[in-house]
Amino acid sequence: MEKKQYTSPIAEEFAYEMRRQTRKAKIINYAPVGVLAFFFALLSAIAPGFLSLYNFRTILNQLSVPLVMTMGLTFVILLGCTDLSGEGLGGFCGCLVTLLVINTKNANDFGAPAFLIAICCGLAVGLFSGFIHVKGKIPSFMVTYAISSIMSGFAVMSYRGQPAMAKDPLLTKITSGSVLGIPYLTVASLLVFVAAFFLQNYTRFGAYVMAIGDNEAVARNTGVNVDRIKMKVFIWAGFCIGVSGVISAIRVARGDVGLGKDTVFPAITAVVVGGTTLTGGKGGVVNSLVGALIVTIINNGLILMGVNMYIRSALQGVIIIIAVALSVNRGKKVIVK
Amino acid sequence: MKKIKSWSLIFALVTMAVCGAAMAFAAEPVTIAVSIRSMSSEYHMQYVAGAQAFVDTLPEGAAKVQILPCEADDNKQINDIKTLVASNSNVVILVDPNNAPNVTSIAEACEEAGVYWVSFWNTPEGITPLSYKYWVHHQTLDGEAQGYDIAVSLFKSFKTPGKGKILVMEGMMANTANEERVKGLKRALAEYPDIEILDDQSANWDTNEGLALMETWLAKYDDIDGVWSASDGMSLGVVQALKAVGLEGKVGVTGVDGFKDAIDAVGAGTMTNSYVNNGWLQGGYAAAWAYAAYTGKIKVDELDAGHRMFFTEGYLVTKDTYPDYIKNFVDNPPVYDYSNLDFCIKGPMPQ
Repeated sequence: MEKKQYTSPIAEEFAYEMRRQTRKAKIINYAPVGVLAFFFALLSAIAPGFLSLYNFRTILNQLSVPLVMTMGLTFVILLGCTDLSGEGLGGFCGCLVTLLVINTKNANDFGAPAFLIAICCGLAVGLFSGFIHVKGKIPSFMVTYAISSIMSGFAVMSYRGQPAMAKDPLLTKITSGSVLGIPYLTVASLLVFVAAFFLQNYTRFGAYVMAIGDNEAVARNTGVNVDRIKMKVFIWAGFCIGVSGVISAIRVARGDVGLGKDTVFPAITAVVVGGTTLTGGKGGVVNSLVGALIVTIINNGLILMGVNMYIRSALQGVIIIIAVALSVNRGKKVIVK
Repeated sequence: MKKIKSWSLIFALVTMAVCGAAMAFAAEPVTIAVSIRSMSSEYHMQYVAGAQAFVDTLPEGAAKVQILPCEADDNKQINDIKTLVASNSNVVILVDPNNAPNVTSIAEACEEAGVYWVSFWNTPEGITPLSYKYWVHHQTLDGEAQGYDIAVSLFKSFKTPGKGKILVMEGMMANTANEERVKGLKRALAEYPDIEILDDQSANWDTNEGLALMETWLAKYDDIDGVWSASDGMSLGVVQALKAVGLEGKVGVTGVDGFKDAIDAVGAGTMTNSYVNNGWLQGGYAAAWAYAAYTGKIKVDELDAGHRMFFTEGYLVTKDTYPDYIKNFVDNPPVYDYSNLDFCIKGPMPQ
C-alpha cells in the first residue's frame, strides 16, 4: 500500500494503457486461430463427411494453390501494396508448363525442368511489375492489374484456342503421390511456406519489409533502400504466383488460361482473414497460413453442406469485410479513403 | 484538232478510272466477319474453321473471313460491329451475341447499314429475325435434347443399366444453355425412376472449379455411379479428380461441347460421352446462308419461320460412336454441300 504513494497517477495510467494495448494486440493476434478452431468445430458438427481422413487429404490438396499464392501476397500486403497479377500470370505459367511437358499440342518433353522454366517466367514478370511500380511510381494495383491482363493475352496466344492437355505420366505421379499421407503438392506449398517464414523472421529483408509497411518515410530516412526491397518483394510474389500456376496446371493437367481464374481474391481474403492488415506493417506468413486454412475449410465445408457456389462466393465477400473491419484501427485520427 | 485531242484524253482517263474502279470493286472480296466470345474457345475456333471451309469452296478472292473476338465484353462486340458496318458495306456478319440483350443493338446497326447477318446461340425471348429484313436467321442447338441424350447414355452405361447414383454438375446459373440442358436431364430422370441424385451444384463452366467440387464430393460420397456434367470444361476437371484416386473409367462422366480432350477421354473410356456441337457445320452453313442473302440467291423476306429460326444437328460421341466420329470428323473433316442450304436444319425452333 505504501508503495502506491510513490507512483504518479500518470505513470500508472500509462502502465494500465500499455497493458490494455498488449492484451488487445494479443487477442487480435490469436483471433484468427480462434476463428479457425471455431469453423473447424462448427463444420465438423454440421457438414456431413467433413471430419474424415479422406476429407483432410482433400483439404490439404485444395490448400496448395491458395497457400502459395497467399505467401507471395503476404509480403506485398505487408508493404502496403497489392499484387493483382495472379490471374493472368498464374494462368500463363500454368499454360506454359502444359506446353513444355509431354502434351497433346507439340513434341516437347522437358519433364521436371518445365516447372522451373515456368516459375522463372513468373519471377521475371514479378521483377517487371516491381520495376514499373517502383521506377514509374505507378500504384501497384494498377500495374499488376495491367500485367494480369497482358499475361492472360499471352496465355491464350500460347495455345491458340486449343488448350494443351498434359500427357506426362510425371504429372499423374505427382497428383496421386504423398509423403506421410500429405499430398506432394501440399508438401511443395508447405516448403514455400517454410521459405516465406524464414525470409520474414530470419533475414534483414523480412525486417525491412515490416519497417517499410509500418512507415515508409522512417525506413527511408534510416537508410533502407526502399525501392530495392519493394522490387524484391514483387519478385518473390512473382515466384509464388509462378509456383501456384504450376501447381494448378499439375492438378488439372490442362493448360487453359482459366487456371488462374478466381485465385487472387481468395488469396487476398486469406491474407486479411489471417490478420495481416491491408495498410501494411502488421501480420505475417503464419497469419496467412491460418487465413488460407480458414478460407479452404469454409469452402470445403460449404460444398459438403450443398451450399450453392454463388452463396459461397458471397460469403467470402462477407468474411473479408468482417475481417477487415475487425483488423483496422479506427481511431479518430485515421483517415479512410 | 487540239480540242479533239484533249477530249479523247479525258475520255481515255475516265474510261480507265471507271474500269479500274470496277475491277477494284470486283476484286474486293466479301468480308465474312465472325463475332465470337474469344479466340481461346475451342468451340468458337471450330465455328470459324467452318466459315473458312465455306469460303474455300468459293472462287478464289470472292470472300475472306475476319474474326472479331469480343473477349466477353458486350460493348466491345457492339462497337466492333458498328465500326465494321460503317466502314464496309461489302460484308456479312456471323454473331454469337455475348449476351442476349446485345441482339437488339446488333440487329438495328445491321438493319440501318443494310448488312446481312446470322446469329447463333443467344437471342432474347420475343426478338426474332422475322421482324428484320437483314437478319437472315438464328440458329442454335437443342440444349434440352443435349441434356437428355447425355443423361440417357450415362444411365444406360451403369452396371445395372438405368439404376444408380449420380452427381449433377451444372454450368453457370441463369445461363440459357445450362437451364436447357438441366431441363433435358430432368426429362430423362422422369423416365428413369431408379436414378438417385446425390448432389446438385454449379462449377461455373470452369475446369478448376469442376476439379475442386469433385474432390470434395469424393470425400462425402463413396458410392457414385456417374457424374452428369453440363460441359466438357467441367468434365475434364472431374476426370482429373477421379484420376487422382484411381477411379477414372469406373465412374461415368458426361460432357457437352466436343472438346478434343473430352473426345479423347471418351475414346480412352474415362468419359462416357460428349455431345459435339459441330461448330464446323454451324459456321459453314451460317456463312453460306449469309453469303446467299448477300448475293441475292435467296430472298430473306420470302423465307418461312422454320428457315429463320432453327436447330442444327449435333453429334453424341460415346464409346460406340467414337470410331465413327474420328473417321468422319477428325481424320476426314466433314465436307458439306453448301448448295443445299437446308441440310443444316434439324428442325424449327419453337416460337
